[in-house]
Amino acid sequence: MSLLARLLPAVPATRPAVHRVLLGGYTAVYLAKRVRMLRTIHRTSPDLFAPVGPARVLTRPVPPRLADGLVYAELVADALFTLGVRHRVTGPAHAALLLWTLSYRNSWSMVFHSDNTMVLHTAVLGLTPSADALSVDAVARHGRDGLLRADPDWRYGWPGTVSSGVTAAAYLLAGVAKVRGPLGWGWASGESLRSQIAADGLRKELLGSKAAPVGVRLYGWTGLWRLMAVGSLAAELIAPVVLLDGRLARAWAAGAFGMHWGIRVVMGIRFRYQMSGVAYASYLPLERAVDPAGWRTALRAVRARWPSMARRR
Amino acid sequence: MSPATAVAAGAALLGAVLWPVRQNWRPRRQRRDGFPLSYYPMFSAERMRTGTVVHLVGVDAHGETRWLHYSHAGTGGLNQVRRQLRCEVKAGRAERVASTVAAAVARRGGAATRGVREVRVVSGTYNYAEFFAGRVVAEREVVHATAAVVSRS
Repeated sequence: MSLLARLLPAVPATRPAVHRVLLGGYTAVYLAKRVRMLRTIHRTSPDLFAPVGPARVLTRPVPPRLADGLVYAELVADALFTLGVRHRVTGPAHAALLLWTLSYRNSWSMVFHSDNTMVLHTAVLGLTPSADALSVDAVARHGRDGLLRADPDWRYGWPGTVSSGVTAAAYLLAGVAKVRGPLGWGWASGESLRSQIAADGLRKELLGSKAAPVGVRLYGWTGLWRLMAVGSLAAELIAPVVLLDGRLARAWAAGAFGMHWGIRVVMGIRFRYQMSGVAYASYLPLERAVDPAGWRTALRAVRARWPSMARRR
Repeated sequence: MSPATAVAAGAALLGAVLWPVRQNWRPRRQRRDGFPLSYYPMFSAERMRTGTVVHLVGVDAHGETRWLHYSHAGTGGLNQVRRQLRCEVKAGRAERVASTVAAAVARRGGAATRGVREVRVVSGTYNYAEFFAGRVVAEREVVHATAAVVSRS
C-alpha cells in the first residue's frame, strides 16, 4: 500500500460521522455537567487569572456574563455539530467555542491535560467533512438514504488519520517530558511514579478528600511501580510507531485505555476523555457500528457459535 | 481540497501539536505549559522525601484541629483550588483566603465543620512514607493566616 493510501485511506462517510456523534455527545455531556462550576469559575478573583491558549489575548478576565454566554453558545454549537446541522458553519464554530471555553476554564492556575486532545479532535472533525452521513445535512441532501451513506473516499479517511496522529503526538510528548525531566531515563525505575502517588495522596488527604486506597496499599511494592513505570513510558514513546500497523494501533489504543483506568484505580486521577474511550475512537473501524449488513453477519456468527441460544429464542 | 493539501494541513497540525516539545530543552524554571498545545509535564517532576501542601485547618473550641475540604476556598476541582491556594499565599493574600473560608464554613455548616471556631491557612510539610504508614505528624507547619468563624445564629 502506498504511503498516500495509508495516510488517506478511502473509508465510508459513516466512519467520521460516528466519530463526530461520539465526540460531540461526549463533549456535550462533559460541558453540560459543568455549567454551574464554569459560572462560578468565571467569578473567581481576577488576581488568579493566568491566561493560556487563545485566552492569552486577554490581560484581565472578561465580564462573567459574557463568559457564561459563550459557554451557552458553545452548548448550542455542540448540539448542532453532533446532529450535523449546517456542518460547514457549526463544525468550525463548535471547534472555536470549545477551544475558547476550555482555554478560559484553564486560565485560573491549572491546565487540565486530559482536555487537550478532546479540543484538537474536535478541531479536526469540525473542519473536515464529518457530517456527510448520520446528520441532518445528509438527510436534507439525500433523503433517508443519506443517513447511512457510505461512498468511500479519502476525504473520510483523513480525519481519522489526523486524529490518531494527534493522540499519538500527545503521548509521545508526555514520554519525552519524562525522559527530559530531572530523572532522565531513571524515571523508569518507578520511584518517581511511586512518589507521585504519594504526593497526590498527601494533597488529597490534606485538602479534605481521600487518597486512592489501592495506591496507598501498593505504596511499598517497589517492583510493581517499576513495572508500571516501564509499561507507561514504553506506551508513550511507541505511540507514533504503532500507527504504521492497524492491528498494532488498535492493540495500543486498548492498552492506553486500560492504562488510564489503571491510573484511576491506583492514583484516583480521572483522565475522563481517555477513560470514556472516545479519545481512541479514531483507531477503530467505526462504520461497522452502523452497518446493518455487519450486524447481520455478526448475529449469524453468534448463532453459528452458540446454536442453543438461537433455538431458545 | 486536494490530497496534497490535506496531507500538508494534517502535517501542519501535527507540527503545531509537537512544537511545545522544545520546552524540554529550556531551563526548568523557564518552561511554560500551554493549552491545548502542551508539552505534558505531568508526572515528570522529581519528588523529594517530603512534600509541602498549602491547606486549610479548622480549629474547634478545645483546640482540636481537622483538615477542611478544599471546596470552602474555591471551585474547579481539587488541583485547581490547590494551585490557587499556593498562588494566594505566595502573593501575600492568605488573610483573604482565611476570611473566605471562614465565611464559607459559617454559611454552609454541616457535620464536617461542626464546632469549628477558627480557620487557618497553613503550609504543612510531611514525610510521605511516614504519612502513608499512618503517622500523620507534620515535620514543619507554617500558619500563614487565621480567621474566626462567626456563626450567624
